[in-house]
Amino acid sequence: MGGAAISSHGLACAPRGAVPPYPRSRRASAAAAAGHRSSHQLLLRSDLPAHPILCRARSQSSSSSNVNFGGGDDADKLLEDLIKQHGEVVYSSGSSPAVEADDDAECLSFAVSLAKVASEIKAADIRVLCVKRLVYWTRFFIILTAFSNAQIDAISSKMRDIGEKQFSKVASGDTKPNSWTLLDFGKFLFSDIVFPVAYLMIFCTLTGDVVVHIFLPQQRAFYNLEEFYGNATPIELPFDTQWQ
Amino acid sequence: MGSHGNNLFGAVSSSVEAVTRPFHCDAISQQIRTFIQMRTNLKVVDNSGAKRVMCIQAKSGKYGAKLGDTIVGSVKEAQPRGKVKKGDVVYGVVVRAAMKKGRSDGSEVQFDDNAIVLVNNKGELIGTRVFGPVPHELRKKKHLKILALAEHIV
Repeated sequence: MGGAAISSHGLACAPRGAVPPYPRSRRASAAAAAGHRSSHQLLLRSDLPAHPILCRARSQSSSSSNVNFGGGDDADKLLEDLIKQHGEVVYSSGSSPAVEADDDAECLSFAVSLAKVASEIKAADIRVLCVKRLVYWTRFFIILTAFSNAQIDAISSKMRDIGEKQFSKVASGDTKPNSWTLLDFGKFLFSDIVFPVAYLMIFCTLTGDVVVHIFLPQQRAFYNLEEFYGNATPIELPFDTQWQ
Repeated sequence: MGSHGNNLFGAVSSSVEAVTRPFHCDAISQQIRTFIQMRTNLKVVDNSGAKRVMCIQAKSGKYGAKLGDTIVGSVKEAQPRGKVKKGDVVYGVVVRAAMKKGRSDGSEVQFDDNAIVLVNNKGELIGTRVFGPVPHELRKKKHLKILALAEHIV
């Protein structure tokens, strides 16, 4: 309510989604914590539409009096004034859930299409795990079993093709087949953190997306990745994954 | 990983890691750590059975091995029933190094000890779990398997 009123008076510049709830809650907590006198002042301030000139004058005086910070309440109010006057939302933490869900959906479709490719080449026991909560450096694991080096080669080359053509993701990983072959379809393959502002970017598009583990049957039992990531949520695959 | 800055993290295995912003080293209180080279004792942090390994050779690097490099070592101390025994010559990947490693945002990572994970000459891990913190510099060095088995990533 207060936020909308403020923007209609053009006092502040563009408070976006994250900002209005914040001053309101600060105000509420300040009101709860402050004494009788300051709560009066807060009530006055929330009458914003009726007293625009009053508010502007108050903010002028409070910004000019920023040399002497009286008590905590004054500092709070001063801060709020400054934020309303000059603040703008540069980045809202967590990047709105809609964007995240889109990213997730894209990664999920990528993972499912990779799993489908694997099942066409008759890989066994394909599992797709969502490790987003457990691990920050990737979103999905695909674990599958192949039975010979040739099959591993075929699977990895098909997956790389699909990654490049459909989703434009480059795979880095084992080029020669091994008893545990790994394909990493990640975004941030370079040494990860770029500079502090991009920290926040890192958190929202946290290094990509899908890591594929191709095992030989005895290695799969030996390393037992499913037990290690037992807390990950398995993703249902819309086709038959058990070939044996 | 997100809380960079001056934070100290104490793991159960008492390997303390410090991620610091660059500042002037106080020469009296700080010791400059260098590379891992011949005769360096390293701790083994997987469940392959070895406990201490002495480096024989750093496979890459002119002066020695850094974080994420491979070394050749000789097992000096091993658990009685493990996959390797004392006197074996093994390869290992350095997962914790006492030498500072710079990151591209300006911070540096440094651990309290030197630790490796045993690998065979094809690059496959001998152990199945990795203990203690590992840095995510390993991803760039293509050691994703170690990251996948690590219990804590820094």
